[in-house]
Amino acid sequence: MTPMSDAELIAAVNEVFADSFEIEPAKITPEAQIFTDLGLDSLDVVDLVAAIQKRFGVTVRDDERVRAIRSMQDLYNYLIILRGEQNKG
Amino acid sequence: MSHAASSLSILQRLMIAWLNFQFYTLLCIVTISFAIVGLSYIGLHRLVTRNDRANRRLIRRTISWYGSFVIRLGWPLVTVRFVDQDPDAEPPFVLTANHPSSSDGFLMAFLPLEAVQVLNIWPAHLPVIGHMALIAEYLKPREMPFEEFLAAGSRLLSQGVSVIAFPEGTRSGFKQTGNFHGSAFRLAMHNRVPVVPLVIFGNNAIPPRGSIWLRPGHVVVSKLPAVMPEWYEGLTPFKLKTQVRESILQSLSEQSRQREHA
Repeated sequence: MTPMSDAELIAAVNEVFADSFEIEPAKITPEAQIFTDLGLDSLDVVDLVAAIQKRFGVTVRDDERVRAIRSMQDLYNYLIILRGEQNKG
Repeated sequence: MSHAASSLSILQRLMIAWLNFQFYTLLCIVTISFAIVGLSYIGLHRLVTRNDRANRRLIRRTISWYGSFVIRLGWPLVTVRFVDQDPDAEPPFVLTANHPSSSDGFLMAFLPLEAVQVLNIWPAHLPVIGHMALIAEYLKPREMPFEEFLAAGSRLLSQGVSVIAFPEGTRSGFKQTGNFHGSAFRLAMHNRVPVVPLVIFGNNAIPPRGSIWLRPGHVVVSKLPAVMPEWYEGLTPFKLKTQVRESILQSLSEQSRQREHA
């Protein structure tokens, strides 16, 4: 993953949502629930994972941590941890 | 329910009691008649024609006839009207409707086209009608991988059979229309067929969620203008489902306003 600060990573994630799903930026808040508030479904999540992998050059595996993501904050936290793991590796 | 029931006048209670007595008595008669006559006719037709496509078309038509009887059984306390805002659009379509009540599936009998519905898990397990629906190739996306749903839906569309979906997945009742699942929209985009928004208004209590007791009311089913493939080209499936949902919400809001002022 390209070196970036937490704030830059969050901004880039928000950009992925705005570009891939054309969701109004005002709706993309840390508290927003990805399924209920933003309206993504299981198929949109597949598109989201592909967009995130492309944008950040990471591999998102279908594991417990990914399945536990509900809010935008959960997603930011997951990607911050993933960035740390991949930079170490 | 108990609070709502206690606020009803004696006349309203009598009307509800009469409506349910009338509806469920006639429902038994119609269902038994269709089970005997319909199934016998379908069996005979299968023996004579041995044409699978023609047989499935007959089963879909029989289900539609059954539905068109059922939606009239509550008359005059329950009335149903169909408004087609785009009668010239050519099927096959993927039709997507809001889902306020368990009676929504029957209301689809208004549509003058050969169609299958996308079923939730429980309707497929209803006696007789659930079995017939499966023979008619109604789709069960909750019990199949998306690729299988896409293949089955695409085959039906290529045969000219429209697909009707309730993308909320479950009944909303009196709550606001829920978020839409995108599978039906992806099916339409994959096959480049028009998406037709359907708006069901006024049957939230016919019957209410979690109850079988019908209340009197006026139901309107509106078929909105088709969203053509040329129009949605370039949109993401997410954007298409969001825009179709918005057009349904807008129509619901207009109808609600009109009814308040009537």
